[in-house]
Amino acid sequence: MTTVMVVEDDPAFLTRFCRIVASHADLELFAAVSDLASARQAMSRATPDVLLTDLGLPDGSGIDLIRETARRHPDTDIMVITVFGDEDHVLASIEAGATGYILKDSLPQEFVELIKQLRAGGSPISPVIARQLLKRLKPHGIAATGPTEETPLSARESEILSFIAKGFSFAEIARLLGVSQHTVISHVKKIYQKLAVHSRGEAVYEAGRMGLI
Amino acid sequence: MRPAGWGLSRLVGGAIGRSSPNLRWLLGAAVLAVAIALMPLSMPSFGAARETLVQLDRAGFILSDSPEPPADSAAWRPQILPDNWRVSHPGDWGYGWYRLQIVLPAAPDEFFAAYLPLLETSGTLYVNWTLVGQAGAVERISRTARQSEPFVPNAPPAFVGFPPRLFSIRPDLLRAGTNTLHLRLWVKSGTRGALSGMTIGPERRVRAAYEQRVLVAVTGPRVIVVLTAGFGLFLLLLWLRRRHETVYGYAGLAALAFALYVAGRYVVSEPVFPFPHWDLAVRSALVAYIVLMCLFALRYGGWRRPRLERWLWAYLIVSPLLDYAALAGIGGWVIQKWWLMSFVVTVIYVAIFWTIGLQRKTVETLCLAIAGSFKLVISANEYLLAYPIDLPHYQPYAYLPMFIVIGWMLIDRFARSLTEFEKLSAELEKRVTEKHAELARTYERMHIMERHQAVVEERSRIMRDMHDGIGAQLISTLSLVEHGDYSATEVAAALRECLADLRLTIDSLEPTENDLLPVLGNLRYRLDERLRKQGINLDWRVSEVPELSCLTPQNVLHILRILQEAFTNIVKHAHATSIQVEIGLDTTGEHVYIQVRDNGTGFCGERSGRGIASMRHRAKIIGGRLDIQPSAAGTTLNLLLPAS
Repeated sequence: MTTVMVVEDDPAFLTRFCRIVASHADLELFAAVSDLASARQAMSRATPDVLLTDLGLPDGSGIDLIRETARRHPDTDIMVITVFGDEDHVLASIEAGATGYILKDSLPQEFVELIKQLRAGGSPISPVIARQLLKRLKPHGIAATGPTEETPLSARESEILSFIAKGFSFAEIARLLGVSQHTVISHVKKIYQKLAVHSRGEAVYEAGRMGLI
Repeated sequence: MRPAGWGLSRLVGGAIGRSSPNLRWLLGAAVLAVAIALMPLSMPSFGAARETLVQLDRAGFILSDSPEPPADSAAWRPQILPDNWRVSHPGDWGYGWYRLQIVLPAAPDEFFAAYLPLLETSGTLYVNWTLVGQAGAVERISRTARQSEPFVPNAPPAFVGFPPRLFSIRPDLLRAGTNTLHLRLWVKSGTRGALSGMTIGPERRVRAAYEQRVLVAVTGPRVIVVLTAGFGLFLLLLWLRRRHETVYGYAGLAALAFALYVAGRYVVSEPVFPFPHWDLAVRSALVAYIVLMCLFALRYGGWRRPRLERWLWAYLIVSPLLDYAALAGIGGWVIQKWWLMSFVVTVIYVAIFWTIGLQRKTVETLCLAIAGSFKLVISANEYLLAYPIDLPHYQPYAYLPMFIVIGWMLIDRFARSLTEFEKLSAELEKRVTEKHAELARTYERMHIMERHQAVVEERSRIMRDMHDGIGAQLISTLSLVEHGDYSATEVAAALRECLADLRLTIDSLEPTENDLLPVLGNLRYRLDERLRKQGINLDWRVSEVPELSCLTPQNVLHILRILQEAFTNIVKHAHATSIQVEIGLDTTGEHVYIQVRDNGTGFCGERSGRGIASMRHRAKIIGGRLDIQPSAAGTTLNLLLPAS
């Protein structure tokens, strides 16, 4: 059984989503709220397995919620709900600690599949985002990286990312690399985590540079 | 006896009294130069030792070819020294004997010397009938071979480059009481014969006077010749580099002509070619100098006097001819006095200099006027007034003030132009910096405008796209809903298509960095689920392709729409079970191809005709090509994109 919490200020979507979760035996609705305050309150007592959140909430940004949850409850898998799956929103969410995104107009079975995939290890990345990840996680150059900083990505991880960037699916990549699909998915999850860690590191570095800390 | 020296000093001194401090400085320099030249004149010649020196200016003379001193019984007649043969024996040349007597109180115990400031052309001295020395080359010519040589009686001699003479006399040749000296003078044909008074005394004292005379009459002119010639060449070189400034050309030529004149008349002690011609050459050099000074003055003042200039050139050419005529004795009074014309021309250039000087009243022009006047004053003093022939000639020094003033002018101009140049380059540098900053600002503005323009273009593109794409789709879906012809599922499918189209537009906005594969990968990512649901297997075959410069957002959208249309056609009409997508570089390396091949029944029906036409149109806009080949085994769509 997977407990799911959804944060979304669009009541129609919220209703639709609750219906989908209720109709599946494997899923249990943890909470369905429409603002940040309610979400924080809901998570103050217990934590869901999966958090789905919109970014534009009436009392703040979903990014903050993602960041808080990722820090306090590392076991919770976070997905961002987006209409277009566009690079800016998705990357910001991944940097905050999300490990995937879900399109708002997805069909019910797609929702369920994605949640399962997420619990299993990782959710798919679009090629454009994969390319951005490759770019961000590679060292930017000698000046930007200190001598102690290593390339965050392993060779296999960058290989997988570049395959994704070329449009290959996880199954195709697994076949091309001669590994199981499960291995590919766990690599992808690690990549997500690395981006989150990396971006936190960068944020600290930036803050230090700007004299904030 | 010293009219020239005192006269000049008074003249210069007067000018200084009225001038500005700056002018005074320059005039001071000019006066110093002249003072150095005239120094021997104003110094007491013999000082305290005068009583031991004897000046002899009375002699006996006899015109005789005798190689030995004629006896006292010969026909001596009294002669006052200095003796100018042109006055005392006009037309004569050859040998003449002078007899002088000196009474000494006691026999000397040191070397004596006889000093003659002027001895033209050469001579031999006997003391008490004993030969003591010879000065210059004495030619052995018998009086029978004598011929009358032509000369211009009143003109100054062309050749006066004879040094002062000093004869050493052994003390044992002199005795207490009366001593007799005989001097045999050899006068070369065509030259002026002349003998000055003689100074006798202890050699070390006499030598001092002799050395002073050598300095003024021999060393000075030599230095002047070298200096003036070098200066002239320098000016000519300057003129060669700056041809339009003829003023330097005339100044340089004038300096050279003056150097030649001084060399020929005062420095060379033996003419290089025979006399009448030598005469003509020296006179021509002088005339050339004066004419060139005139032209220099005209150019310097920026005056245009073509008639005067023609007249000057004519004078330069005609003068030697008239001089030759005068030497040959042809012509009357006008030709015999033609040499005086040089004074007239000198007066002309001095007048030009003074006019310029008084008009402009600048230090430079006034100094030039004063410097130009020296020649006139010296020439007039030496040739027009009665000038004792045994005094040294100051003619060679006439150009010295000019040399100083022109030299100073050049240095002043050089220094000033350097300063100007420095100022100019500083100004230029400042302007370049300003322009640079301005350019940077302009560039910045242009950059902002460009960015603004790009934003406007992108906005209008998105507007157009939304109008033609999702807008049209939403309107058609709306009309379907309004007419109630469609089920909710169908409407949902239509709306999903709208969303898919919108995502395509948004994808086209992502920065591609000219990388085609993520763009196509994204399309696949979007379409994969849909195809899977339709039971269509997608075979994705991708190899590395070079960066494509044609991947602007606009073109990306065109490519995505072409492919989306292709996939839609396959899904809707072809009944295919498998689609193979292959991306790579073609064999020519000129195109990147995107090949979409299905195993369906084809989709080129009449319904999709408009769609295909639109696809081709889009391909053409990108600069690519679209081929669609239907076959029994399926349809192959090939989109070629330019690789560079």
